Amino acid sequence: MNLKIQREDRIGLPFGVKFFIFFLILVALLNNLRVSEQTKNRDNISATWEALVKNSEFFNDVHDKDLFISTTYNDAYQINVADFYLNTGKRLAAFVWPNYIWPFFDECKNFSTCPLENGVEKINDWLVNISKNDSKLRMLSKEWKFTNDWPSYIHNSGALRKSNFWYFNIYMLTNEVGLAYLIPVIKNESNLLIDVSYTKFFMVSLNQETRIRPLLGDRCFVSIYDKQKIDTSYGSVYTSTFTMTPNVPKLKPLDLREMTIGTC
Amino acid sequence: MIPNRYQNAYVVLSNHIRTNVVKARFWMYLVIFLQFPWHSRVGDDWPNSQVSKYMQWRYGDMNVEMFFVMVWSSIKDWMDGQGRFFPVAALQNQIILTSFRTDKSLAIFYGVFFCATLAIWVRVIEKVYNNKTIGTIFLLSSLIFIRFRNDFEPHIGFAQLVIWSFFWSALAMLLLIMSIDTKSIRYPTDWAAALVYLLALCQYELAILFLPTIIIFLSLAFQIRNQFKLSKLIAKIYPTIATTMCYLLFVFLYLRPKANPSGNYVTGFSIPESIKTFYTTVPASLPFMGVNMKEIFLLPNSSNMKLVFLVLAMIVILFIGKYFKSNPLNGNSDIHGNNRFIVYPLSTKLKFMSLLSMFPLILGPSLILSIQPNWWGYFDFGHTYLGVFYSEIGLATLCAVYFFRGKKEK
Repeated sequence: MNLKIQREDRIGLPFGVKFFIFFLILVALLNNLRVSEQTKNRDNISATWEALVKNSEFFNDVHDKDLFISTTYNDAYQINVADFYLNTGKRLAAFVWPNYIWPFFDECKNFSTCPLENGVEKINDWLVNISKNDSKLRMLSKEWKFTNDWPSYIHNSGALRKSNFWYFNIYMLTNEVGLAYLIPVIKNESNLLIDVSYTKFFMVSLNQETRIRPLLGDRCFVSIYDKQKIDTSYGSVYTSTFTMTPNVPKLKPLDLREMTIGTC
Repeated sequence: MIPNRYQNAYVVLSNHIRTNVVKARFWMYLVIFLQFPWHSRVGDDWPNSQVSKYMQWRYGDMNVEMFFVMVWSSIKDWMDGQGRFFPVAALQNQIILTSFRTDKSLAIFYGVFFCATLAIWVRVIEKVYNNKTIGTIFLLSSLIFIRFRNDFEPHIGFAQLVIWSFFWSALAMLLLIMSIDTKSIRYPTDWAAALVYLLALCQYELAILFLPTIIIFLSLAFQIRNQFKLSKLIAKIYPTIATTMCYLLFVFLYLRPKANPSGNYVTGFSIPESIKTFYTTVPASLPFMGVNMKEIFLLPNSSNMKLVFLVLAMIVILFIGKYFKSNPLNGNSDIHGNNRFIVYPLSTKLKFMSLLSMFPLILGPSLILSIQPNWWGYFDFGHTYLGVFYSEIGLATLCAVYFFRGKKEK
């Protein structure tokens, strides 16, 4: 037996076997890297969000108890009301996905036939559901004397009637450029409209040379500050804030579903 | 007929590795670890990853007392709703997710913990077989079998729920096997192992698959040391079985009747569906399964990933170049000097027992999926599931045991 093993040792591993083991390891490593890369896309949107919430000026007009209506917020990507509070210190009433309030939101194409009615009332009712979904947490909290549940307070105090609503979205324009916008909502009982004249855009790019500007309808937006470099936990990014060119005629308020964004 | 030299490939390899075992293991752990920090899905585990932040928003504050209220409410929700009991998971994931607030720090922690868990398992199989080379070959095999997944990702996703259950189970095994070689604190160690295994069950109920593995591993360890007696085995394992019974009685006689399990927590059996689910999920841990071979050889797009790729490729090439090189004299020397009890190659009986010990890990997760009607029709050969990690470990361990032959002791 020993002689046999010594002979095997002397000849070493045959090239084919070495190659096969190497190939198997390589396939596993490449697969793992490929999966890592596929999940990497989310880093850019997370970097955009982090840069945004670190930028205190973008949310200057937003106050405690205000409410964000958003189709792109994502709890799994930290784009949520809790992370917003932690980073900005502003305690929003909620992030609301419009489909929760108006189930026809995505399907309806002819907006005049399906207005976004009674927004304040419906969202206030929805806040009760948030509390109900976590009923055990609430019950326990009462047992432990934690009674200051924020959604319940917002609901019971009728705070939504006085607070501002904002239409807010954040997404990637390209692989390297993220865009967020914040537009005040006009709380009309018959339909929710957005006051696009006061739109603010926030653009995050991974490199300094990006020259894209946001376009809303036929209006090209201008940057109000020079590009700023911000360090995020995903690396450095370059940020710009855009508003509409001053002294141009104001735009008519829009149904928020009519909003179209482009670049110029 | 495969030529003899091919059959013995791992023997030769193991001898070479043995000469520089610390270095070899360092490189292998490094390659495994380096794959973690580049993942971005660590924070995807909503709602777990966000709960502490939400508490802060809802209640305006977050302190230790509230932290435990939050964890308790999560445990109670699962107990009342689905009849599941995993308090350790709730506690573990919230402590980690509250402590590591950025994706990067979390991914690095996950990488370190994963390597630590593998190190414990390496120690377990070294102890069972009383041979360190088997541990090193296991690590090499794990480079082949450990593959990150696109859907249910057990290595870094779900707050490493599966990895933690494996960690506790492996630790329990290690304690039990260590107590074989210890004279003085044998009894307390057996009970400590039982409690640690209870932690594994309270982390994730799938850890129940480890019970047969523990029993077979223990009897293997006894046999390899020529100390096997059924009474000894029973004396050693009964604390673990007792705690497991307590867990099972609590879950199935107390929690389940009160709860309203739904979805994945309802069991059933159907001849075509259960069998189909079983055979489509069993091969998931094999090399090439679910791998897009066309896409895989394209270079990554991002420059960061290219850098990682180059570093890993260099390490692997260096590793292969150095440790696969023929070096018969050094290769044959036993630097561990710990093969006092065992003669290698393993007898057919011991090999068969090894195979048997890994069956629950390799086949168990698929078996459990196949009796959950919620999964019927969901899987094809490309899909994976959380339990695939157990299969990966099982296969890598079997490779180590079967390909290692070693030399006969005098």
